[in-house]
Amino acid sequence: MELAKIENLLEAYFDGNTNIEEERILQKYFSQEIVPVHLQEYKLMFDYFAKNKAEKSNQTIQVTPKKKTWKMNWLSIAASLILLFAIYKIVPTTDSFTDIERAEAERAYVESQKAFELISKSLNRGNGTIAYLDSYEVTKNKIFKTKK
Amino acid sequence: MNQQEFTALVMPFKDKVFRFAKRFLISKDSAEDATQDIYLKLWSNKEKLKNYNNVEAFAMTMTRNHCLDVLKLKSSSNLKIIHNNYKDNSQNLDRQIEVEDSVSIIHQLIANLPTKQKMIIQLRDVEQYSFEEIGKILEIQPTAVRVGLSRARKTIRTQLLNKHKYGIS
Repeated sequence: MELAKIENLLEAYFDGNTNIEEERILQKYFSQEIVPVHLQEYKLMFDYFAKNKAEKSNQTIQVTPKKKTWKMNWLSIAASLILLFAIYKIVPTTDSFTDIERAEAERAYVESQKAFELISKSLNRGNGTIAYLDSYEVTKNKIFKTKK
Repeated sequence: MNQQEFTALVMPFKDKVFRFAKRFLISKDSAEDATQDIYLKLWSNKEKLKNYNNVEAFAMTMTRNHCLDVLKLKSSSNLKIIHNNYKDNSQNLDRQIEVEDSVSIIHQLIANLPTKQKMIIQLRDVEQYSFEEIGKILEIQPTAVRVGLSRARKTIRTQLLNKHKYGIS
């Protein structure tokens, strides 16, 4: 493409007298790496347009709120039935223990009973000496004659 | 019209709508919102679409009107905190990076053009619509399109040459 033709096209371009075909020629010409120095500014313009045209959005457009089909309805009914059944199955098991839980509870019961026994043993250790308190009472009654 | 037909009819120019909206609304997010809104509107009017022989031009007109509405709403509301207005680009990091890119001088110059010229430049030099189509989209005469286009291009050229003469500010 000779330079004179490009310059002519550019003049027409700025007067708004180019058609789309001619503008494509200009666009193609300015897409090359090296252009004459006096046309450098125009390269900026055409580069910008080309770059802008290449811009795309990655957004996906949702035009319809997905309509509930019958299949969807049945699906939700089935899902809720399963849910109900699951709750029905789960809830009773919370008050009737399984074997493992029962064994665990019994073991805990035995353990705590042992612990209580231990405590009471050490508490009862002092009980023998409390018996002497009775003799104190007897002696007191000898000295102070109290009415019965 | 079912969804497949609709998609086949309107999706090819999705990016054009997006870019057109972005030219007005500057930020990518608000342009995507606008695109979404426009496609929802198109979908709700899908039965009427058959009556338009050029759905694309119709959609672009809708985009224009929608964006102008959004901008009007924005300038009249006091909530400047939502800054997808281009006046608020000073602290935006990726804007700054973009500004450093020499190509974005053009972006700035186009942003400073009057709205109508901005639209014409976008539709012609980026999207390569014919004058008739642009006239239809913007609801003006094709000759007016040509005049506006010429003015816009010349303004860009003059300012670009000035900037290069005096150094890029």
